Amino acid sequence: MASHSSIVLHVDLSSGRTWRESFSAEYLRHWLGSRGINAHTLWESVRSDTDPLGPDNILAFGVGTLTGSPAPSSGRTTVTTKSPATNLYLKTSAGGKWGAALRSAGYSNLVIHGRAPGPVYIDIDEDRVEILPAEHLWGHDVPETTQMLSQAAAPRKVEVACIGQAGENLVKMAAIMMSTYSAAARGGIGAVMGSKNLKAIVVSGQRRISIADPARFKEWSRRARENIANAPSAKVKTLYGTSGSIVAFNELGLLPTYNFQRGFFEDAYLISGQNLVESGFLKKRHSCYSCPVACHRYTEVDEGEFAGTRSGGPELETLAGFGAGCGISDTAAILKANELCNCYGLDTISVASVIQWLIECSTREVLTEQQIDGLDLHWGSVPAVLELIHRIAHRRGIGDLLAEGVRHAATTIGNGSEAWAIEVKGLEQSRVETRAAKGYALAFAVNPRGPDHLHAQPIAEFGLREPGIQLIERITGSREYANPRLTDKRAEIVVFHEDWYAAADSLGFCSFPTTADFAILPDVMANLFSAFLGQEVSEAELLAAGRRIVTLEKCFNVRQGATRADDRLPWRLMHEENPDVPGGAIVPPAQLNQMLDEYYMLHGWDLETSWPTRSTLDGLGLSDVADELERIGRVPPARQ
Amino acid sequence: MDTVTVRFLGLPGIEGGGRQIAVPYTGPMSVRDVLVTLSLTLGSAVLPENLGDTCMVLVQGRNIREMQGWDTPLTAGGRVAIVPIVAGG
Repeated sequence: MASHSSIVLHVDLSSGRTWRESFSAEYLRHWLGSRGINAHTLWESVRSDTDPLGPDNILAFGVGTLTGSPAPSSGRTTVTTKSPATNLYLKTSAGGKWGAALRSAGYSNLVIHGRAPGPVYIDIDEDRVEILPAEHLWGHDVPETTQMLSQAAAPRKVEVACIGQAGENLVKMAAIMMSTYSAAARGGIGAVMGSKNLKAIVVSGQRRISIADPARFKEWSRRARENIANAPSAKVKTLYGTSGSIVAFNELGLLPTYNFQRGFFEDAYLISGQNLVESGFLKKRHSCYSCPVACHRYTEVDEGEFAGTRSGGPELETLAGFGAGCGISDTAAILKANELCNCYGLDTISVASVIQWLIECSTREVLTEQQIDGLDLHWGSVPAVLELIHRIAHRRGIGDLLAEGVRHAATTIGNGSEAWAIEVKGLEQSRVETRAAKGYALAFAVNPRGPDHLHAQPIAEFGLREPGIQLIERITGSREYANPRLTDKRAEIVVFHEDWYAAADSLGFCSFPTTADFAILPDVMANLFSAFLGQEVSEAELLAAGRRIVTLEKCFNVRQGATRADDRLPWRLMHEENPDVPGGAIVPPAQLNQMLDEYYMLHGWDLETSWPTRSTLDGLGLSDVADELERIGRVPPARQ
Repeated sequence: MDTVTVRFLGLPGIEGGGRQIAVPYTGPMSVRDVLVTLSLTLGSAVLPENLGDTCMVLVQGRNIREMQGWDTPLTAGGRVAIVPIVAGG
């Protein structure tokens, strides 16, 4: 293992001090890389009473262990902090090329401490690390900031991670944008960066990753690329991006429409990736570091009211959220919403979700005209939706309330509006119809950061392709369980996917070729990691390390006071049927509870509290974590 | 005349015929029968053996994998949708 593959760079913005810390191969085997090391660092650094927007919170960037290598689709960066949206654990990840650049600068992780007295940015060029004034950047949007910093660094070629105005204004759905259009989006992570007065992080370097067994690494990289090339779902993503699935979801009645009141949107084709191609909006496809799929889009509007709109994306979540979710079928208008969110640095999932909630409040007449700033709010109301994005980013008028997240907004407004706030733990749910996919429902309920698909993505449960069915057979012992309507064996399926996802994140792999396309299965990952280290790491050890990471993330929330009551689904999804799924679809509380019982038992967590037991933590090498939880009375008593 | 409606939505490599086609319903028929009929005008790309695993075939909004596959029976007024496979979001 090369020395620069194992160096954590710390920057304290309060004191201006920087320092480096190296870790051993043993530590890397224990935590695997970015997500695991970040989780451990957060656990060690942050206390239960730490204010997420205060100087004592940390912002940890972790580069995938294999990022910088030729392994395909291995360029993901994980960013970890205590979330201002949930006051719980938060990991979020981004593609692009920023992570690979940090690796080239010689670092695996970057941990930001403290708070600068005024706006600053950090410039890292290998051994040179500078904290520089950023007053001239403050108030600029993401593309402007990225361009200004890139020009200032020229001829040095740099990658930039930055926040827009949303992060500066501490909006709790602000993102950190990397390589301009790749978002570490969820949980208000951009607000944490803004709270530190940190506008941007510029990185560059020429260092190369060192691989202990290059021949083995090359062979397994070749196999992984071949698997990706042969995966039909990867081809759909190359052609149409993530939004190539919208028409399929719609036909199945699974496209969340009008704030999850329906599962079918009449104009779904207009908001699909296919339409972006056919109508000429798609101008370029591009890829993250070392990825042959190239699912990222670059779109422009050439004519009409929104002519001149241009941005990266949009992804499925954005098209579905502002399209079917808000009832908008004007493709150009959705591209405008996407552009605004990317410029301000906003999480499109949360922004679209809180706007849908507001529209529903308006249509149900629980808000006065004055409360909604006189906006003409109804399903499909383009001017109001675009205006709300501005207001959220700048915390103006009703936007100040919405910027706190849908849970806070619904609690404030009341009048029953909590029932259509599609959130859990304070985070808005992504556009997945969990009522019709029981494994997804369980995965969303237990996700430590809140309900979305980027914790465990059990797409195999749909049984759409033979490799997915074989995977379900491997996990459960029977192909029959490749059926999303079943609740049986969902716990086994979710736990396996959690372990796999945590390992993939930590090594830097994207979820698409792994859990979505079944091209990079755990055995491929174990072989690549072994070749990198020059030490044999079995698939079982890799997945066990994934379990350790997932468990530590859970323990962070336990320390914060989370209990079983926090593992649930949004009220609507447990009490109202989706009428567009043949036969109906819902996950009643009793059904979720049954799946939760099985899930906790598999993990070795207490059924009553959901807290990991002492023996479970000891078995995972987390005895120090158990000691700390025991001190505050959060290790469950032994029960019969 | 009774018909079965077939919609091709966003599939690469299938040209012509528009996105929605009405096929005469002449008596008991399966998904396979309908696609064979359509192949006469749309070409062999729409035959079951050529559609491959980049797509899903839905009858009345349900995946034929959960029913009788290509032999899933259709009724008059039936709706068939052929869409790209779900690829994650």
